[in-house]
Amino acid sequence: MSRKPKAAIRALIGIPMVVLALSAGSSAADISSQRLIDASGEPENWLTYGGTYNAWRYSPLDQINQSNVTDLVPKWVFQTGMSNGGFSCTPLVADGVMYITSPSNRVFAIDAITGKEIWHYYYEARKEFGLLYGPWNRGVALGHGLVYMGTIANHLVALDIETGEEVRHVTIENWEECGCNITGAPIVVKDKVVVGVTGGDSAHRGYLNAFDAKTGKHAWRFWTIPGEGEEGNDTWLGDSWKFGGGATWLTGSYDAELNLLYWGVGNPAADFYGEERLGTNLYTDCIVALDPDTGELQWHYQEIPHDVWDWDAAYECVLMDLPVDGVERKLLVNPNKGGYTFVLDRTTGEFINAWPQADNINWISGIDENGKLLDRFEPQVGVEEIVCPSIGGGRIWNHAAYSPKTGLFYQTGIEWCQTLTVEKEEPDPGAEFMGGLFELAPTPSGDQGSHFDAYDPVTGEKRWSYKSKYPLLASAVATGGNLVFTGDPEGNFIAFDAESGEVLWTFNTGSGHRGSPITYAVAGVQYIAVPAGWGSAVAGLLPQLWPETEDFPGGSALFVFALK
Amino acid sequence: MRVSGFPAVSLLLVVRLGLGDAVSAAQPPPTSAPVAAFTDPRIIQIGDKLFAQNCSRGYCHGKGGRAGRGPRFRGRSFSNRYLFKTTREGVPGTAMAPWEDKLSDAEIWSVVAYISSLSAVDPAGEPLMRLSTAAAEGVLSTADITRLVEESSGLDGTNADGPVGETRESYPDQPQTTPGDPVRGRALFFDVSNDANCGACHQVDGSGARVGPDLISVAGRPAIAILRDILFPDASVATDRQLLLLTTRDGEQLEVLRAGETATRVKVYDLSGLPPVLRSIKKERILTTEPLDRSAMPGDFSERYTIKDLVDIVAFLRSFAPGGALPVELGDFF
Repeated sequence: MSRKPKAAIRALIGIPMVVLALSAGSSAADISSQRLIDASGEPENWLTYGGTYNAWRYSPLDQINQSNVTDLVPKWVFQTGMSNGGFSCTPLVADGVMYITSPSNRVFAIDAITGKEIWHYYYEARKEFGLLYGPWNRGVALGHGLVYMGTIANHLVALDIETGEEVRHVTIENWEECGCNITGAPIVVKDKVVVGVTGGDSAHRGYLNAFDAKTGKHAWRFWTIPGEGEEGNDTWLGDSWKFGGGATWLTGSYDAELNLLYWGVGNPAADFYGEERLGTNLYTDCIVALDPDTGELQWHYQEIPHDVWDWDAAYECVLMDLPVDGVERKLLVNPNKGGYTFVLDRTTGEFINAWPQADNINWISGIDENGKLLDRFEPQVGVEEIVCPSIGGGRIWNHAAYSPKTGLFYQTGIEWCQTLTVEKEEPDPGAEFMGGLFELAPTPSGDQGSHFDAYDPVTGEKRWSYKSKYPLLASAVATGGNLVFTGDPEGNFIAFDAESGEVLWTFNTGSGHRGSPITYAVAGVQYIAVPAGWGSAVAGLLPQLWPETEDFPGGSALFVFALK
Repeated sequence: MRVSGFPAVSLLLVVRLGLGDAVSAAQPPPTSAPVAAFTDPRIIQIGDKLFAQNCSRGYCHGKGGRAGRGPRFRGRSFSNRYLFKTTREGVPGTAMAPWEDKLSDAEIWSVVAYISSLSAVDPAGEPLMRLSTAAAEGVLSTADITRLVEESSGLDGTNADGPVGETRESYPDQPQTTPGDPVRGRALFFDVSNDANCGACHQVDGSGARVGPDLISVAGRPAIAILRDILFPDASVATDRQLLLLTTRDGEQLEVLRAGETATRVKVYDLSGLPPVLRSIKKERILTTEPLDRSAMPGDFSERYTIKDLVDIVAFLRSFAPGGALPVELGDFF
């Protein structure tokens, strides 16, 4: 499914009229499950969180390319008015209409040519919002005539795609009781909408939920921690499974051919204090492959057994079909917060490789050919230690891009450490449950900072690298014009030559980047869209190491560019 | 209040006392007892502990107030009244929660005293601690100080007989005893692994959904009456909010409670499955609505819960009785 005849795609998108013809006759209300499966066949749209179900964050659109990117100019800017928490969303585009979310769960439908608002939805959030997850939001899902969003008060809402009216509203769990809510984008798979939950740093037992996309009825729940009597429950000491975290706070991927839904599961709780949850702690830090119709587990692979560093395997699962030792394999590439990118066989969950995306990693010395973590360094209670990378990760959640054209995987790496003091902590249901105190610290060699790199996705061989003074906390998008875009904390939105890594163009949006850029086309014109707006939990930690970032301005503006 | 996880107390005591002394030395001589209390190293030390346990955690204000998602305190001056009010009431629309239910006023003042001390300890922060006599007057009485200092010995979590141990033992699998356990009752009330959990439809204590009545209204009722309401919901069906069978023009049938109306849509709670789904259905889609002669509440709680569960749930509800928590015994059901 990943290997498309390139010539055909190029022919399609090279002729604007064809794009027009494709869009004609379909409207946003007609986003069927089949259209979502075939999304790579309509490159003018960006229909799901990762662009397509394989989470490539790639579009074959090539009107904007290496030779003319210097002619890129802003066409319109849309202000959401909600700057607290950073602008983290991935915009979706369907048939000339863009759908974005701001912090505190505002949703906007915007004319993708003019930037004019079509409708907005303002979620009624409780004023006394006291969770550490949010108020940011990463985006919506489209399908079945509806726009789906998970909320900071742990609701799933469904809006009429034409009018923005709230059509359905369901409470997933009382957020004050569970210490959990939703900041990630849902995903529509066939007749279900699947949505994860935060709460990995709370005394909470994590899960993933599916609802009937048409009626809103609860369809299935996959507990990320097996209950009493279930296989895997014995990987938790005593009752620790009841409060073991295992959040599903980002968005999964889907392979329609295998009918498998892939989701990354976060860290166990307490994050740093593991003595009272001895065992491997399934299915935390796992990639799980589920039957999307029933929620049944088909396979799992645990990247970090008994995680005591708050790493998470919650980031994106990027699905590629590539040769490994000369044999074409169906792969799943998952960058882990601990600083290694894992490569698995997505049919079976077999470990294939793991390669580092950060230089400063001291919690293990490496990963062997069977996926075993070597020389684990587990800080002891009450002893302050330097752990690298920091809690922010060897990479932040913001997503990588994969270009089938260059065959390269583009992602950031962050060099930073932390002092960590592990503390014994008892769970208090729904309350924060981290089991330690941390503070950002410089790397031993003083090379703290960040880089944006191009890799061979299987071997991890680095092809080019761009250095940044501050941690890069934005996602990337790759295009058929052989370009890759990402943004930095100082507000620079940057276009790279996808092959050489040369910076070809920059534009300062006035506030730092925390979201996910996309590309789309309407009426034969290709656009690049990027949310700009500094903020969020990790952005708030930066002044501990880079004091000047405390004064970096927040914002919440969507910039859209096209050739002049 | 979170009081767990604070090891190496004796070591910290030495360190914090040292810090406190330095802060006191930097201050003008106290003019009255309350002001002395505010710069009292013991109070700053208590505030330090509370800050570490509650404010430094996670992504919030960072270790020693060095900033996280929340603002930095080191090297900065704030009005003490502002700090007190903000800590007590929170900042609406942000992650700063109100602490009035978790910390006593005296404890909040000790946190404020600690935060104030931070403005003087950072060499980069020019201003010394700005202690306004007017702001500090009367905020901590001598009795407050004595009590706080006494209580702070229980804050370290190292005492197995302290409040932490007690709370934990009572949750969630208390041996089968006769008295109702409101803590376990709360867990059952909001237990999401049970689709028919009480909180899926009812609010109490500001938590839970608003499909059915807020159960604060039953908190003062006799235990047996609450039990009957749970087990036999059809015996007392509210006439103002009747369960309806809604049939749409395309043949969909839903059991619903009305929740409101807009110009074009009717809002209903769809109770055909649990948890309930709030749906806004276009008026022209609705064919008929007929009243159903039974409660919207499931009638099978006698099968879903043990007697012990029911005693605990009722004990949880009666813990909100006007005038104070009312205990529940199994015997109250007979």
